[in-house]
Amino acid sequence: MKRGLLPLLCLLSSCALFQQPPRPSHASPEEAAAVEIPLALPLEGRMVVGGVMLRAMNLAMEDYLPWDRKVPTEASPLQRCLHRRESYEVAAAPGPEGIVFVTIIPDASACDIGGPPVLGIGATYAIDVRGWRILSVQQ
Amino acid sequence: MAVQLRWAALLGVLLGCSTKVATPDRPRDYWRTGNNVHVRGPWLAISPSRNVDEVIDQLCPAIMELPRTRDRDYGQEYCGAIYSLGDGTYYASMPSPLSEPVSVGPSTRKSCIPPRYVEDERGRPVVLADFHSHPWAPSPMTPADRIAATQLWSIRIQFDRVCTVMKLVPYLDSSRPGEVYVRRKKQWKLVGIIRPEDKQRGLITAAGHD
Repeated sequence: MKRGLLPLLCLLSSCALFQQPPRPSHASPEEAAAVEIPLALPLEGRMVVGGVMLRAMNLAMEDYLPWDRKVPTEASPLQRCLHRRESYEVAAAPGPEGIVFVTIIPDASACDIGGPPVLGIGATYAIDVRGWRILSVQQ
Repeated sequence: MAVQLRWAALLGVLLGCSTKVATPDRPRDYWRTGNNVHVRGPWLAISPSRNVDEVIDQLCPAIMELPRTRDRDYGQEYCGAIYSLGDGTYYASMPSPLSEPVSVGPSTRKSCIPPRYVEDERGRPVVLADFHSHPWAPSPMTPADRIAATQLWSIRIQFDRVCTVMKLVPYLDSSRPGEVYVRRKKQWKLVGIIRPEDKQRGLITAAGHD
């Protein structure tokens, strides 16, 4: 009995190392029923992002702020803010063939990075959009 | 005899330490009050000059002598200021490693906070620029180095571990585009501009492509 327990414990603890990214949570049916999705998206603020660009941005952000990155327990409000993906803006442009450049920019209207001025935030990535790899990071 | 040798060794160490001047490890060369970093000046490792570029050219080699300035992902950045006392001569302040802990991005480097106040017992400092180092190369100004919210002074100087020096003139209070330069062979080469509509985000457009 004891002999079987040890491999089982090892198996369970190793499973913890292979966590899956969380799937998006859905609102309750009642909440969903209260939202009307229009046939036409509003013109104001409407934007279209190409799939290649979107995936390149996502890949860069996944490296910059991985989904399982933990906020330190005693993090300051600024640090907590900078751990949220929505606290950044992203600029991207196609580069030489097969490369997309992605710049992750801290959004000063989301986090107070001016007081004190916090340097060294953000990064620029070169993404290989054929092999979907990070070619280089500049920070 | 052994005791004498130990004293000689101790004396040697003390003398060795005393010849290492102008490093920013003396207390009160830099300090923080709330969100503001204060630095003392002048930094004796940097010769003052009436030509500010002569001061800028001395900064990187001097900073790179400080601890962990070239340690890439585990590196320490240093921030300081270039100022005058109203007499046309420019000085560099002591560099400060004071930082705000923000562990985002792919590295664990220690970014520094640019100083807002310079203290010089000889007079009233007028700050022209801040400067800071990066522990990698090539490593130009980061997005946060360029955005409007982090600009304190008229000029920002930044250099990487191989002393490639960049200059940003943000022109925040003007409709004129910001300017980004690289120092090459003692000359500033304009490499990019920041269009007025991009100043908030610090997005650079290559020079000649506006």
